[in-house]
Amino acid sequence: MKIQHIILVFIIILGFSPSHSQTPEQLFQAVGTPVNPKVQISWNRYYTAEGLGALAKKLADAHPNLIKVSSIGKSYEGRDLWCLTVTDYQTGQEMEKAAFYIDGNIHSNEIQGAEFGMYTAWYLAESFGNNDFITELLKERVFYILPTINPDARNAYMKGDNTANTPRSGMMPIDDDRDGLFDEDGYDDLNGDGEITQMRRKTSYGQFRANPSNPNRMDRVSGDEMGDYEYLGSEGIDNDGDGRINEDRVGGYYDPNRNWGWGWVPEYTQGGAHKYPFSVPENRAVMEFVMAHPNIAGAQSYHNSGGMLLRGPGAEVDQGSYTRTDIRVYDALGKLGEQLIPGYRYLIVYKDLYSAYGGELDWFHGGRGIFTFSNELFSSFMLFSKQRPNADERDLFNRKLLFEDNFVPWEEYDHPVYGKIEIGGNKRNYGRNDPGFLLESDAHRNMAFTIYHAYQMPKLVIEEVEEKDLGGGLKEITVTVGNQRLIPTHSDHDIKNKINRPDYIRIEGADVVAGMRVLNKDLNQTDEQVYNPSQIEVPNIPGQSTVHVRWIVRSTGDYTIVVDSQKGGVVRK
Amino acid sequence: MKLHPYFWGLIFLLGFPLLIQAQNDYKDPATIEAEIRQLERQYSDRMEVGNITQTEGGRLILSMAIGEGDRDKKPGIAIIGGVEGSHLLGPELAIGIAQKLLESRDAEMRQLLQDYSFYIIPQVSPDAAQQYFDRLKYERSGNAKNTDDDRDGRMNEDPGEDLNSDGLLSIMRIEDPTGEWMPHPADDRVLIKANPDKGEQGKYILLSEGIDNDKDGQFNEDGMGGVHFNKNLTFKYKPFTPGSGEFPVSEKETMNVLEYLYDRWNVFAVLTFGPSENLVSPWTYKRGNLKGRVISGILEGDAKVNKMISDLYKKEVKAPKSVKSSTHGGGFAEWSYFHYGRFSFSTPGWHVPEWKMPTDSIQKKQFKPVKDKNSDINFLRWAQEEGLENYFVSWTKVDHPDFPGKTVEVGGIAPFVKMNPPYEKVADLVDKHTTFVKTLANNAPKIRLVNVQKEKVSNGLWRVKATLMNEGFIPTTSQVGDRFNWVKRLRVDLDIKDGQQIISGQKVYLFPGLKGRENRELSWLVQGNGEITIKAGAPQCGQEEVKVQLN
Repeated sequence: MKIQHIILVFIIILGFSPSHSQTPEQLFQAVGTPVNPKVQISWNRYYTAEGLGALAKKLADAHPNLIKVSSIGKSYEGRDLWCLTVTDYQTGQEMEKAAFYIDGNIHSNEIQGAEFGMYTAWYLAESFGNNDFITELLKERVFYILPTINPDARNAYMKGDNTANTPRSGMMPIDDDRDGLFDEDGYDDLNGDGEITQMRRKTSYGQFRANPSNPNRMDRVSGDEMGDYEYLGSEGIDNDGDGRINEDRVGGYYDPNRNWGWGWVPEYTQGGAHKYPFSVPENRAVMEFVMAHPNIAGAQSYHNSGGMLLRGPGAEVDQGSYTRTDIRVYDALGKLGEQLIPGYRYLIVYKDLYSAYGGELDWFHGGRGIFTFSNELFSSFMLFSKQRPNADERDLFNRKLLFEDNFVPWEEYDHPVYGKIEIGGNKRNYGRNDPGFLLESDAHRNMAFTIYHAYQMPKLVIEEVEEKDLGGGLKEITVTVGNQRLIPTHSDHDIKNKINRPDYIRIEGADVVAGMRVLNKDLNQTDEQVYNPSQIEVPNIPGQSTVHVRWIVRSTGDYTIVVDSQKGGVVRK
Repeated sequence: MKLHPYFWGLIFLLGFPLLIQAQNDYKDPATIEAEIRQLERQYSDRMEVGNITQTEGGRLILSMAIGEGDRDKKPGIAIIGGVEGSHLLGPELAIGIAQKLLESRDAEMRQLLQDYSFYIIPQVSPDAAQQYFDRLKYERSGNAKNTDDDRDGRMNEDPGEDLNSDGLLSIMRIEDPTGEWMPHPADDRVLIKANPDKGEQGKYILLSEGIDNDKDGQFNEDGMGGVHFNKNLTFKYKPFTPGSGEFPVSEKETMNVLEYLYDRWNVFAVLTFGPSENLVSPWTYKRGNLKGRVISGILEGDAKVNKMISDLYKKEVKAPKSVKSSTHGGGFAEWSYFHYGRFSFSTPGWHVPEWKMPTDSIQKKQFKPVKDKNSDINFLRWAQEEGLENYFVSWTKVDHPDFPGKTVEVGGIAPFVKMNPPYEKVADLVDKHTTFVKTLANNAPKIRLVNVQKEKVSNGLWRVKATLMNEGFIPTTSQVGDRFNWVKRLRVDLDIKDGQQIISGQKVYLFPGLKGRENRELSWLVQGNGEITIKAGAPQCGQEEVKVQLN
């Protein structure tokens, strides 16, 4: 590096360093957003896996009492899967608080979930102490945020030869055409512009025609018309000389979101299933993390696109695992979500989309009893605040708001197989992922939905401790425990299958003679627990409801009541 | 620790005769491991031992890849034992077959090792199998993973107890007016469920041997537990049932065995020694086995292959007619077919023979007729005739803390004996199953290029024809395997030289499988004289290459 270059780099670094950012006196807060955050992050662009890792570390360094960063495991190519644990570490124990799980980017081309997750961590930490609601939330709850659970293919999407739709999987090699070779015929950036766009060829028997007012735009001809062009697929050649083009690309087809351990079915029933549940290493790492964190009571897995708040079941055959009681909870959350994020619709995967087996949300709900949504981020509603804009309106958006930054103009190319063709079309960053100027807004609204979801996780309180003298040196102690929020400590599906252990309500420091659940306090219906009566096992503490337990004790000294729930936290009185 | 080189020699000299002589009972997992190591030392030229995983209990699961030359390029058969931990015969058969394959000097057997590869994993449930050799014996299927079998949040709080101190966990019967069980009219040692509709009255409560440690009214519902290999796989997996694990393929054992097999594209058949049966009696095709893209039973063409192989099996191994085909939810043989896409054959290897009522009228009087074909009574009578020992634990009274003042007796058919024959029968079963494995290999799919012809169309223009044929009787790909990318397609390549070009036909063809003896015509137009090469094959059915001179 020449000395001039070093100086130049130095100047650039100085130019962007925080010392040159605004002083607090120069700022005025926009409502709802931290005005002078400790960590400055631009929310109108995307970050590579390493970029996200660096942001996570910065946030943790700036907020040591609120954010810790840890790696939950390694990706196929050996990258760390970073998790930001966000909570008020000075209040309570992490594992004794109900936890909310967020991940993004399971499909590698659906990148913005990572930025949305990161925005959430940033917003929570930067608002703590400034905003009462967030401050209280972090005292009570933990957020586990994994911005990307597919870092390898995230980078491949951004930097490799890929389109807006590839790769969807991770980077494990797959023999897509079953010819014995792996990833031997992928896309090729023929014109060397760093984008994989489309190939088209002039023909008098075509199905497409250039739009008269915008020659970059291709319209399908209708009815008995004949067009001027045919499409030949994405840029590429026949790399392996087998007579086919782009048939076995890098990051070939398997679907990390069909590889989870609930209702998993093999490839022939559903493409993408891979070998067996959690055979995708990134999924396995998430599974191990979730198994080790039974405090997770709510979850969000970000996808794109289309503006949807999805709940399961993924597959029609799995309807039984969503009972009426559980659906009531989902409905309440989903309907508020529709209000918070205009244009987004609350939908059911199998019914409103298609049957998807072995998805992440299926395992979270079916396998672990966690109330889980999957948001399909970015909606075309956001272009002009109306559903389903037509082709002209999309064109208007591209031209007048993106200034055609989305498009590579058609240019001639001499193709070894197809002869004279033209290459051009939309870039990969167009269509599925939020345009820069809409990114922060979409992130904020989706975060608000997850915050509401997290807020509604069980919050347990010991409402009442009643004592009654039974005579003969015996005393009856009846405790009422309430759950002030919408989500129960156990989903109905969880109770049926005993996925998570019961809630424990125990009395410490008393000489317990007998213990029981009180099923109906008014009518004195009880169910005695003979084994270990000082710790009563309660199958569930329903949302916005109370449960009662009772002990018959001999001594009269001081005692403590402890409610110990995996998903509802631990409270003492 | 570094051992003196003579140490291994000494072990070899001392150990080998000991192992051979000591066999009058089933081999424990450590012995099986030692035998595999022994074979490795003896036959390193034709086998390779791999370490599949170490279990939670600290035991190794070892694989043996047997065959000469480039094993992964030849059609392969995988042989798995121990999918059910209490099935001790399975590992014996698997390692016995390995020994025979390696030791044999027979020309046919040596040829087998030239033509095919055998991937043998004798014991996939070593933690469970160890229980047979423990001070306290019981039929255990689970590995050493800590499991909360009754899912109440408490771990192993109610195991079984050996109340009569005989070293076995068996059954206990409690005389009780609410009991649903009664003695069988033909043999009062055996209990059957009383049928109130027929005016039958129960006398006993039947429970596994032990006390109700956690006083929850349930007996022995959460002991050592563990995850069962044969309940932990993906086909018809049953979640949240004892032994099935938290999700399919949750265990090191299952996951690593699957990975081992997925890496071996050349495996065309899996032979499982375990509880599922489709050799004595094949799996059968029913309409509805295939609904859309969901496969819930064997497909039509594959059922025909299963029938053919079953018939060949029964020529070698005799089994009672009453044996029915079976499948198990989460089972390994089921995975091998339905989710690995290979031909899957499974048998316990032995069934309790059918006991025949003597024809002599005086002898006949000793035995009361058994109208319900009760299998326990069949076993007891057969065992007695065979002169077996310790196959029944006589009902003996015990004092039971949970049933004060009640008559509680421990007894019943001893564990293990209904599933595992007396050890002296094992050698013969190994011989017969080895012959079956040879038969299976000799029916393997084998790709051939036959009737290769060239025809001069014009000056320098040639028509080349060939017939791609499966010389074997087993299809190159199962119908299930044809449907997904875990089995390779048949690939045909036409290699040409500079100056030649293909005018018609493809350079590369990818075809679905060929049935047994099925063929497919190939034809190309090639311009330019000189040598061309036609290559055909897939890992599971071998490769063939033919050179043709165009001039």
